[in-house]
Amino acid sequence: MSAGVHDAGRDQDVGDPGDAGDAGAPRRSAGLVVGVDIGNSTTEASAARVTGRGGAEHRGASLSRTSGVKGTVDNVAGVVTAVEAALRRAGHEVADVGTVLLNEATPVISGLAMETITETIITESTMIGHDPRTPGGAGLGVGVTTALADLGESEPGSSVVVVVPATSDFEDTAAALEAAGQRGVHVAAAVLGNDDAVLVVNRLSSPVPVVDEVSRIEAVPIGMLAAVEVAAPGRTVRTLSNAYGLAGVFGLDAEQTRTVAPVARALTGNRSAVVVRTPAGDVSDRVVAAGELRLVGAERTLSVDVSRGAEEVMDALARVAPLVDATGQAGTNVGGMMASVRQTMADLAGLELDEVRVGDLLAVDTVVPQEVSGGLAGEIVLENAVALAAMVRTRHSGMQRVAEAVRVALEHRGASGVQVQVGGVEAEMAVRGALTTPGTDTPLVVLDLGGGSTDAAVLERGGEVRATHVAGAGDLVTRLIDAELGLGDLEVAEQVKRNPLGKVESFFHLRLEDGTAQFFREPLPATVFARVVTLGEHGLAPVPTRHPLERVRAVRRAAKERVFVVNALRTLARVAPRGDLRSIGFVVLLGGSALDFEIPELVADALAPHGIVCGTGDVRGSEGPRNAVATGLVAAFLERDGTGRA
Amino acid sequence: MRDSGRPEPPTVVVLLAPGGAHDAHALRQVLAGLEEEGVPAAVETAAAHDCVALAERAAERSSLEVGVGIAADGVCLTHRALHGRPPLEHLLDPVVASRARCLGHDAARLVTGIALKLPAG
Repeated sequence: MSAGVHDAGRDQDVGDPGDAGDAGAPRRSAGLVVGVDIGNSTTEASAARVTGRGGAEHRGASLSRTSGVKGTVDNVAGVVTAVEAALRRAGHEVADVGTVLLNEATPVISGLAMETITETIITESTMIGHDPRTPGGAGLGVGVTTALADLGESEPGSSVVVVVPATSDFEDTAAALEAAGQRGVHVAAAVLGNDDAVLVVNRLSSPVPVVDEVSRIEAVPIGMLAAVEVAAPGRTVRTLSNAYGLAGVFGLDAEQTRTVAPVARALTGNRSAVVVRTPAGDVSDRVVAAGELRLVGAERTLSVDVSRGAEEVMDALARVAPLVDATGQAGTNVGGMMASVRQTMADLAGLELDEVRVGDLLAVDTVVPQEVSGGLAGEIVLENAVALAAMVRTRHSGMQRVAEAVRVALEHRGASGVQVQVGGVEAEMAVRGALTTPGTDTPLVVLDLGGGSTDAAVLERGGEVRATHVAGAGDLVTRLIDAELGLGDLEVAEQVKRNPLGKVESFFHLRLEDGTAQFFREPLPATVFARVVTLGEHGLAPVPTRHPLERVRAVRRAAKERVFVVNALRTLARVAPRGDLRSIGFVVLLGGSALDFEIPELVADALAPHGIVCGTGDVRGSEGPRNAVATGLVAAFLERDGTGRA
Repeated sequence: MRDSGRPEPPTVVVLLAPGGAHDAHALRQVLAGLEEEGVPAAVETAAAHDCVALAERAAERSSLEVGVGIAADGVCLTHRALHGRPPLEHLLDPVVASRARCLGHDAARLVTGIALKLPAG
């Protein structure tokens, strides 16, 4: 396939533009070919000199930022930059170039949406479960909620849970509680607005459980029976997280116990908790009517309720395959999700909204930490959610127009007589380029792990190429990380995705996620002290989360597996002869995510049981997973008419 | 270990240059922050008017290597490992109570290894 393409630049000096000894040596204009791959984010170029008889020496590769949306005339600036850089590295100038080859872009545009499908609601302020870091005291206290200001009016012998506003100083609070106790009032527990629990408890003659940092302390209902529980350090509440414990505390019958069961569940895992028994109070977790997804296949149509989870959606998708279009039920969450995805894709592709046909979907179950509605202290509950990545095939191609614009721009810079061609379909070119990776052979599958879609192309022994594109790639991984860690910042999520983690353990060292340590000569800034950080190109950046490093790492890896491993298996099943993964010999990973520090190994691990050799591509043995398409363009050009032109 | 042979209890050292009512207020907030986090503190007095120098001396004395200095010019927090470098936190007079409280929390968190609150400003 790659006959005649060998790499001179790797082990030979490339600085000899004169290159003697080539009978029929090409004139400059015919001899220099540059393949250009315009990607969504980067534009890559590979310059080669045709050596006659269909051979070529690859002399320079370059990488620059794509200007404008891929496939539009705005790309010209980025293309010219990439071509110039590749030529310069090959020891040439723009004026020397003979032919520039552009890729026919993958006709795929993708969109993402995410929606929670469960919702936890607290009515009438029945529960406080925000888990402050430093509650005070220990044990369980039961009494009637009483405002601190009204404590003097409590009857001796009564049991009270004192509700303390943030305006009260800890010494005054402690003195008031002590005074009430001396009058014979049984102070069972306290709930504070400030972060004062330990301070108050330390000033009491007999400690009681105290929960603090309740931000909406004024909303705690007064005159109601309440229970406050604080567990010993390192432990979690036992009574209030147990439905029968609540039944015992509040004297509930079987039916009432059933209604408080969600309260118990919501408090599980907390070190402290407050439950207030109000007449109509309740905590409910309801499933949001997410709506139905209508999957239109070539032969049949299925509707699937998205709130049943990703697995059922993907099952239905497999049953209607091949997918022709997908729509969401109007007026539901799914309807909104699909509408927003379609709008994104219509805008990007320059299509009318009703021209957009969803070609593939990937549904992923996820959890999203969300503030409980009706909560008193910013309680967070993990709600279930479904993330959807969708993809459309676009029909139009603006590449011919781009080619013409590139020609004009290059001529303007002195490359008179330059030819600019659309040199081949991206997937085919990628396979050709990938095959220059040392150690590969046909049948070979290229897996291009991109941002919006995962693309696969197979090259059979006979030279036939088939390609497929599925929805879901790097962008979805970023969204899952953002949602599951509750970051609310895609930039931070991107950093978490791209870089290993560490935990700063002192001003001079951090512990990396693999257990090793790294020492610094200069003290680390206070903003990263004791924090989980990402080890990025620009140094350490704190991850704004209370989750321990292990949790952040688990979320990151699970997100990558649920997108890239799932999609690797989906695409391979589609392109493999008879759908049999065992008939694939070699899988070469390309694309930005193939440079990730762990995605290639996650994919390789998943493919190993099928007897597949899988690894990150190393185009021409020197470019890594980059430059495959540009290299393939040059190879295809040589095969087509390279010999004739020399 | 001191000369007496008795182990000294681990404490964050707070060095106070007595000067007025506002110093007492700052001291109370700093100690409250430390107490809420459960880290013991020892208060000593010294004649000085530079809270940064006091904090450095306090950090030298503290068996936990964390020192707070309180003087007429403000409140300062530092760690022995940062000797000779800019202090971690430095609140200028007049000191807002809530920020002094935060500084107390952070003095404790330097010892317990919990992410700092870092009073804004």
